[in-house]
Amino acid sequence: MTTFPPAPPPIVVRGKPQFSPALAEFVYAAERRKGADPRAIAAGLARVRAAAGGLPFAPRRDPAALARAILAEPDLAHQQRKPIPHEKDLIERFFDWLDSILNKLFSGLRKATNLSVGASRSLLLALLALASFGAIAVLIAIVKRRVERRIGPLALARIGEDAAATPAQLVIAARARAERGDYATAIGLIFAAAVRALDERGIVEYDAARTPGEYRRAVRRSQTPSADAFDALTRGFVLAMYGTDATDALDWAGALAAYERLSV
Amino acid sequence: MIRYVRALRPGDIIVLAIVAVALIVAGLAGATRAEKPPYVDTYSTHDGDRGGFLALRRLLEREGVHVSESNRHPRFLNADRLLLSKLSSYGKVDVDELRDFVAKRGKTLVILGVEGIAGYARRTLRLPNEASGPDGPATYDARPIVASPLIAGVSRVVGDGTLRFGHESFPAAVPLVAEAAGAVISTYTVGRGRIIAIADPTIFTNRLLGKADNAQLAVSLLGA
Repeated sequence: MTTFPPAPPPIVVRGKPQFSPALAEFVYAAERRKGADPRAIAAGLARVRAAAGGLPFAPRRDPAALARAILAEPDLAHQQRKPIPHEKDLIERFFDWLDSILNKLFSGLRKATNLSVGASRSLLLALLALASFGAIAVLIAIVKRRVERRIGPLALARIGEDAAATPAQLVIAARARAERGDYATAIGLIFAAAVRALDERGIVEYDAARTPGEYRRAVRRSQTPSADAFDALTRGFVLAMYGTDATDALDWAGALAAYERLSV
Repeated sequence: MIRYVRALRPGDIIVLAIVAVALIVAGLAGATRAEKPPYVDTYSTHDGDRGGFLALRRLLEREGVHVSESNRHPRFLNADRLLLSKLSSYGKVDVDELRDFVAKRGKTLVILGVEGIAGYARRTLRLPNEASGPDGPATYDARPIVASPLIAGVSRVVGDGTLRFGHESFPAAVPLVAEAAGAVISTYTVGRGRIIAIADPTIFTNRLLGKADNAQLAVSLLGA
């Protein structure tokens, strides 16, 4: 007679009653199969007998205690701890906040437009993309303007120092600066134009190392009728370049008039 | 462009440097988070993390089992028992050698985990059909089905894997430990030798080895 061990007691997993199967269930499943072979089932039971015998049941130490001791070893213990809940850093919090704002926008837009989730999301993304492009364009314009304000005098200074620049070119550059409200630079350029014009007429040779006062005295010594006009222009130039008061349109008009008198 | 760069003042450069540093820090922080690998069960005897078998190896060694690793083909193995946790990576030739290792040389092959094993290996090694557990990856309790020295001293086994051997796998394979969804461990003979197939190897991972009678099972099953 073959005897089987009794079925294990029922166990409860996650609140639902479940039962460990007995060997009888496996035998029953085998018998129910289509075309079940009784001889194969009998052979299976013979295998059960083989599995249940043959090897001695040797008494052993308590492996569970040993396993716990092994798991408590330093290189294993820290790995077995339950993972610490991840604390969000500042960047993650920022993106979470951004996400919540976007979600609010999505839901608000959906309610307002009665659009589907996908359509409202697409619409809002398009609007956000446009706004982003606009903001970037404004930023670029501001930076460009700031930099150009700094580059402008440098460029003009280069024009003024350029020995090949003609008086006419310098006057054009000066008018352009005056139109943009940069009267001090404009007066500087018109003074440079006057110096070049005097050189072209052979009154005073151009020398970039000369000071405005030296130029004025040189022109005065040449006894040219333009000396008064050049005096006025030099005075305006010195005030515009080195004075503390802001240069205005009136100063520019005076300098331009002096230059025109000089050219006559 | 050079004109614009030259026109930058020290204040502008400082602001740009701060922005660049902030971007780099943010990028590095994101990269650090991205580099952190997701947790996986490796079933490696070198892995001390929760899904490794390092504790299992030490347990067997301290129970007096001679444990060694070998890259030799099974044909040349000088061992009585071979534990495999990566059978899915074996090719046809290797599988044939494994069959000969068991069937012709009368050795024992323990297959730790049957997920992803190809059809040829299944047929050649006569692996029982799998059945998914109803509770997915949730923790389950399994009990011994038959009295056997292979599971001596074991009354309860805990695992959290999803695979079992279906009830219909009997009579070809004898279920040793099972729960309601099917057998967790089955054994059967191939030729002169024996195969012990463990559907769910999570029972021997570092995170579960100390639970229930899993350690006792490891010693009885793998150390006999």
